[in-house]
Amino acid sequence: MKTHTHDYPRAILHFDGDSFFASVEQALNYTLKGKVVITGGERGAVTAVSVEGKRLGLARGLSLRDIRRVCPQAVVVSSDYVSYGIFARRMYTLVRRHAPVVEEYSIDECFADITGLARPGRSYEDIAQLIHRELEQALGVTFGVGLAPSKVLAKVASKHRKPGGFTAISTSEADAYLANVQIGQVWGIGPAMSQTLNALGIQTALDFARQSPEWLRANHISKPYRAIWHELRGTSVNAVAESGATVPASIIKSRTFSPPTADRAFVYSQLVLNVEGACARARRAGVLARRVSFFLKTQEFLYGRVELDLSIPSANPADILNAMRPRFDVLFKQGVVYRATGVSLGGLVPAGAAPLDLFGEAEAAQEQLPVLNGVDALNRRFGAGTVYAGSSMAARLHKAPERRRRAAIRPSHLQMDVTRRRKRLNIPFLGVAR
Amino acid sequence: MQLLGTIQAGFASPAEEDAADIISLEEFLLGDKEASYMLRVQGDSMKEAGILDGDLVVFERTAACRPGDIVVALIEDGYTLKYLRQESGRFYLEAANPQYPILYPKDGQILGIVTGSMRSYK
Repeated sequence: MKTHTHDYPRAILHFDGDSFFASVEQALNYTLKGKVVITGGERGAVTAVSVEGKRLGLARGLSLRDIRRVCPQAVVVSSDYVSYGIFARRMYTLVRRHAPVVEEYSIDECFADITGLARPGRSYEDIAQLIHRELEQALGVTFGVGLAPSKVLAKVASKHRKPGGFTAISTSEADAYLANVQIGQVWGIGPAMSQTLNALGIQTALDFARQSPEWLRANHISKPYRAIWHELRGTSVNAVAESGATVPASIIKSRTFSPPTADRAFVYSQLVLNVEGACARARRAGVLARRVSFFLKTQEFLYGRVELDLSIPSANPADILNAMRPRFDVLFKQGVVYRATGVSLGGLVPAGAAPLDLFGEAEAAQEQLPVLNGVDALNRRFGAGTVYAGSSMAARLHKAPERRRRAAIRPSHLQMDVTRRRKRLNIPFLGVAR
Repeated sequence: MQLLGTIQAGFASPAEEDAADIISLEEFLLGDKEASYMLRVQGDSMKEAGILDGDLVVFERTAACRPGDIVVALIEDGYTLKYLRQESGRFYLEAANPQYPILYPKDGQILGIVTGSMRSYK
């Protein structure tokens, strides 16, 4: 393979997991391999369709009901964000072994900048394909991979040959690819902008890339779109932003408890425990959440999930619990036996960057900060769980007897044991081997 | 976890603190951490390799399998653990128990190698 560094003033890679959630489910459960697998369905919404389903024309936008009608043999599994998170972290870590700068763009995508790493006998293409092979080998999930001089072009490249394909687009080759990409499919161009550009006679990405700076000015093309124009022409404007330690994509805490229970106060205290844990982690990472979702899992493995926006970004359990409490009361069903709760903090922003709200709520939240910093300091000094919200006490006190009981009647709880260990080690458990 | 030297079954030997080293269970059991998965053993096909019914094994997904390794293969009826052997260029899977037949894996069926096993006596 060729290495002409002038083809890549910057060498940017984009990795995109094919049907990621569905592929992870297939990697974790071999009986799902080769089948149409749909993830989600908790609220009728489909979060992923396996490669096999996409071949039949199924897509994420369809409702579960439509999918069942078109494809009765489809296997529907509920979303397992803990496992998807483990696979995502593995993806980032594996890419980081070869690339100095990695941007964790989302749970199934990342960018890497490998500019300057090509050597005689080891081209950018070689490095991209080496990482590609290692990812697919280690995770058992296929990836679309793109190499290009900018992020926008790298996205075009990774999408070009899916699933499992690798495409390199150098500056001189870009036009041939862009002629076949509709302007609305370009990363960063939404439906409204797409319509605006269509009205100006722009159909493909190439049409846009070929316009002059004067045309952009005359048509009042704003800064983010001028950036896309540069990137389509092979000039990197949006740098790959190292994200590893700074802003995680989301923070997830979930716990299975045994035995399962219908006790409302106990289930709530388990949820509080997860919120406290997730918030402590958010404060350690220096981030605030704008979105919270939480779930209750029943003994029959059915999920009830609620997502809500916080009026102000927060990493304070009290704020988050205030917002969650009314929704919990609706979600929790009397007489239903629950086995797990979990919470996910999303829309994370660096703590300093949170915009102030109009109603003075942010100010009130700020006043809580010294208290929380004190809580964190005490927990660091005297061990996790020294200071906590009163409402999580039932869950915390429950720990000790749970362990004793399991020791006494171990065989029936073996599965439980495995689950707990797996979560602590982050090593997925695949089942039995003979 | 602190490693206190080897022990001889039969006689208690004084642990040599000087030779001790700190290792984590993870380092001890895992090859590549990012490529590791767990399986629960069912049956006695690997009993002469010291892998028993109920054990937990850790394996690494890798293409670098050599004859003599204990490998994980995915065959028609699920995962199987076996020794990878080679005879006159042809690979086959052999149990560590003479009661089990030899298997000839197809392309792509060998997923990786076993790097560790765990057994709890609690």
